[in-house]
Amino acid sequence: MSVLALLVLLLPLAGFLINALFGRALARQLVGWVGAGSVGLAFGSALAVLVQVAGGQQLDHTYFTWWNSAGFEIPFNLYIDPLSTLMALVITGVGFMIHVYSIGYMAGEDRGGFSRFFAYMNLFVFSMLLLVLSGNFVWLIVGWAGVGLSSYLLIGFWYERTSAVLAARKAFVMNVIGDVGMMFAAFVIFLNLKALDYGTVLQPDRIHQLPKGGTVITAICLLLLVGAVAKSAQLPLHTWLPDAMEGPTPVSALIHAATMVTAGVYLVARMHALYDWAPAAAATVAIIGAVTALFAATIGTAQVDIKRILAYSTMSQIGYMFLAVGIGAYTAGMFHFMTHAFFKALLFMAAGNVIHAFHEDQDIRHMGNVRSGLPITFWTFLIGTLSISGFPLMAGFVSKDEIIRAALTSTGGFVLLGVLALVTAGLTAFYMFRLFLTAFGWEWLGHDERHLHEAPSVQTVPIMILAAGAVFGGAIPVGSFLKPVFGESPAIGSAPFFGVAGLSILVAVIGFAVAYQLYARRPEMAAVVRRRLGPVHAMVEHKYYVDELYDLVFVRPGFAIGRLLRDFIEPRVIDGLVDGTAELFRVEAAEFRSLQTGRVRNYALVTLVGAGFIAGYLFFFVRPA
Amino acid sequence: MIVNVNAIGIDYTTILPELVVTGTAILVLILDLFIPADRRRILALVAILGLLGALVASIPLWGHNKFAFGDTVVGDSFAAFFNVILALTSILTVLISPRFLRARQLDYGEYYVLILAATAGMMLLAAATSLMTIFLGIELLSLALYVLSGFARTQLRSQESALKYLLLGGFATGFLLYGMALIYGATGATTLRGLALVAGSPTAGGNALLLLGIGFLSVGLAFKASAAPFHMWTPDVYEGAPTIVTTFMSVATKAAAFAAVGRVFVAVFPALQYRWYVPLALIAVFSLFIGNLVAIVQDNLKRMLAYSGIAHAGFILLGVLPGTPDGLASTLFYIAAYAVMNFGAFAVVTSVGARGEETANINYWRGLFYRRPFLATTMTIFMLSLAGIPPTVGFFAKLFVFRSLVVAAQTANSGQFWAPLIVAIVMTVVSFYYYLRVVVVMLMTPEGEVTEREPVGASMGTVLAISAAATVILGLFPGVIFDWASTAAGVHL
Repeated sequence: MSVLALLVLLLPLAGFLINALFGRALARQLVGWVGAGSVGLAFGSALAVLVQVAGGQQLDHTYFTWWNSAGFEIPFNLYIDPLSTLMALVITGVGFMIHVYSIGYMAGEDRGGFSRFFAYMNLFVFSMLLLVLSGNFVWLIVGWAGVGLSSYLLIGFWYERTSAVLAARKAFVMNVIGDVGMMFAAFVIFLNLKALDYGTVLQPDRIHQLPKGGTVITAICLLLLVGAVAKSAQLPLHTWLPDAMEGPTPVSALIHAATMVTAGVYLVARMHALYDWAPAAAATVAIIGAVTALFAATIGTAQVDIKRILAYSTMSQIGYMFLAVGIGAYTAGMFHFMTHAFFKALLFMAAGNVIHAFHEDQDIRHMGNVRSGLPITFWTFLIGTLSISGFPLMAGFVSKDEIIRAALTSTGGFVLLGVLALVTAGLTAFYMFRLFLTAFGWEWLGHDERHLHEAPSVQTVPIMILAAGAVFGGAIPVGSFLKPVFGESPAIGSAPFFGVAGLSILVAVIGFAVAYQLYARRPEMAAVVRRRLGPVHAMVEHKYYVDELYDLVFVRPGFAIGRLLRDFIEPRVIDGLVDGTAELFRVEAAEFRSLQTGRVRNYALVTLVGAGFIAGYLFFFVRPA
Repeated sequence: MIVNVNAIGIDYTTILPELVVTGTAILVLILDLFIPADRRRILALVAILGLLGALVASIPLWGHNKFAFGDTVVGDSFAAFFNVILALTSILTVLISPRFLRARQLDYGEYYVLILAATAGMMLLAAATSLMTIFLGIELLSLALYVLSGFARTQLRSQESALKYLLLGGFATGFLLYGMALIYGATGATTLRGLALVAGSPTAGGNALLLLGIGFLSVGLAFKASAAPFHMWTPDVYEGAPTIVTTFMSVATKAAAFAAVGRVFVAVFPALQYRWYVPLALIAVFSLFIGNLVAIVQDNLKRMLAYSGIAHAGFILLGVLPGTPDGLASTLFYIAAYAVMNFGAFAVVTSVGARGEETANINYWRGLFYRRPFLATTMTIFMLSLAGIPPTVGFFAKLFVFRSLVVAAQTANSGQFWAPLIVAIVMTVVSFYYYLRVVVVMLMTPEGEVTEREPVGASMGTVLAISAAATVILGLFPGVIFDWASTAAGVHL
């Protein structure tokens, strides 16, 4: 199994190296299939790992020792248990679908761009796999930073566009804030637990030496949370995710479904032994998750860019997962992660087809009548919408319901978070159907003369496969598979299933009904409602002015300080010092250089003086001891 | 006097690497008589095979401590470590030589003989455990290098550099010999074993004759290692000698000289560390200052690298200062790292200057990235490594040396190690200027018309690729070499 696990990791790396080094020289076909094939083979290896993990095996294998100095040892080890296996399967499986889809979607790129794209994508998958498979914090952080880097490269893929470059920069800065949190978490862990490998650090005996809920353990968990929040685009480090839509659509699919934003959920789940010992930090996770879920869902109701709506829906769904892992319902969180990967990848890729069909226009108000031209895209998108909205028996319903149930039946104030989650579920159904009804349009909204063309099968087949996942994924027994990792989840199962399920179905239906009324039956009413809501609508449409707030609080003062430094400190103070120092060295150097006359007798003299000094020191200054 | 031959301990396996190299040198000399001028490549091949043989013959020495020939040489891990570095350096040098020599009509068989002779001398120096064999090794390598420096017979600069090297080398050898004579006079011993016994006695620290001898010995060795203030010959000789010779000399001579420094100061006179510390520390600090400062104002890459070599001599010497095997291990690691990266850097200079020596001027390097991307990329790696930027091996070389000083300061609970450490760190920063300048210049657009588009050549391409890959890979996985260096540094007498 140690070889198989390594293969899962190294195949995408090999794909990256091939496409990065030789991509320009290879045929297009080959570039695409190396990119997709390496991830596909990795998926195959992950399946082989699954067979053994399902048989009860686990692995913490050290391949080599990277660093060993004075008792500080960093091995390169992979940690294979059901949790990392599940992550790896989703990353490579859904990732493979997205890669195949990209072969069609990116066909318009020139050869250099095409190979660059696949190289970055493979790097992305590799980094994410390193993140989840690593057995210690060092390689976790390497993978963590690698994900940040590859997302930066991919969001800014069309680097001729200013907006893309700005979005990439924003994502990178936000992510680096998280990276710093991770680094500090690792420092504190090493200081207090004297180790960085999971095998030692996550040992309950080891953790329980620290006082429960004490400063140290809470600090560790909160620092880790900074990293998780940044990577998973939760409040308050969420602003990069909607802007990340500047990247090509498959990138969005990859970021939202298979990689990146789920890293935060994985982190909390992986570190559950730590969070169990720090209730305050765990509660913070839950609160951030629930609030983000509602916050993002409300914003989603007022956006008109199809990819932005989906981006806010991701934020909202990740919020659910944070809520789940925050209240200790780890299995439910990971379950929702998996189903979300199916329907979110599907939604993004279908949206990509629509955007292509409408010539890169992303405004849902300009779309419509999709069914006649793009039937496959239409029906699969509908499936995705139903699944995310939590319609009965869809995968999204099963997993989301588990989270809501866990929250509503948990003790303490978490019940309130469950209510928030329930409200969010209704909003989700509302904004998703608003999107669907407006963009994909019913015929009765008016006849549309546009001739739309369905995407090629290389793009539609992956979507259809994912649609199957979005429908039937709820039947996958994730709970029992993950039991060895988290044990029995306490909260779930104690509540009457049908009661809670009925509630969540009810809110979903209400959400749908409102959307149907406003956007299908009586569109004029939507305008009236918008006017009525006035300032509230404006606030939601402007994303609660968080970007503006950050601009005011961080960016503008930052620029002001920057200007001060540039116009005054730099030229007057720093340059003066630096230039002065450089000048000093230059003068000194010139003086030394003038000794180098080229005359042998001078050289011999210098040697003689040097020898004289040494002899003098030893002879005169050293007296018998 | 009756000499008991068996008591001397004749054991040829101990000096097998040296014997193989010397034998190959003689073989090449004879073959040269029979091989037509257009097939001199065969000589290079024979030389490489001989050096490979020496490399293999060194491996059995690992882990042993076999003294032979009346305790004048030893076969141990320390010698094996250096034999491997020296043999590899020579192999790489010979690999890229034929093309270089042919381009300059210098393609004579003697060249290989001289390279092999120098290598034999260096290997002997690394294995020497007697003042006599140390001297023998130094003279063998020096004589060969004097001739090699003047190998471009028709060029005035080459002649000048050979003559300067010879005169100054003779001057320094005078100090060396005088030091040896004083040491013998003070102790009555010439073998390092015998010296170690005397040096370990409590009165040794007050023996002015012995100390003076050690002082002059360090002058002679510092000269070979081109450490300041005994470095004056270095820039002129490096610049004037054929670049390929400079490449070899800059790496191999320094390694061999430090082999002797390490064995003498750490293995023989550790008890006198409190006496020799100040002179050696001053040499190190001087080298760091002069090497790094003067390198800033050099516009000729060969001279710049010469000063950088002086600076690195300072860094390498830092590891010797604590007088412990731990410190020596960091010195050995540094030597290995320096061999890889400096050889690579000079090899690039050789390659860029393929049509004439004037190309070592930095202006010629403008825009090299666009003309010859492979050369420029490898050069960048070597420059970053020489500057000590991770993830290259140069970073770990500096880190280990600095660390050994910190450890020494803590264990000895003495502040004396901080001063050279601080100088070294500051000078590392200074060195960024001239290393990174090369990278910047290569990225600038060239002035005027430069149409050079010469192919690198298969052998040079391989050598550069190997050096660059080693620079990075050893930087990612420094542990292996450091383990070897630690083993090799455990020298016993």
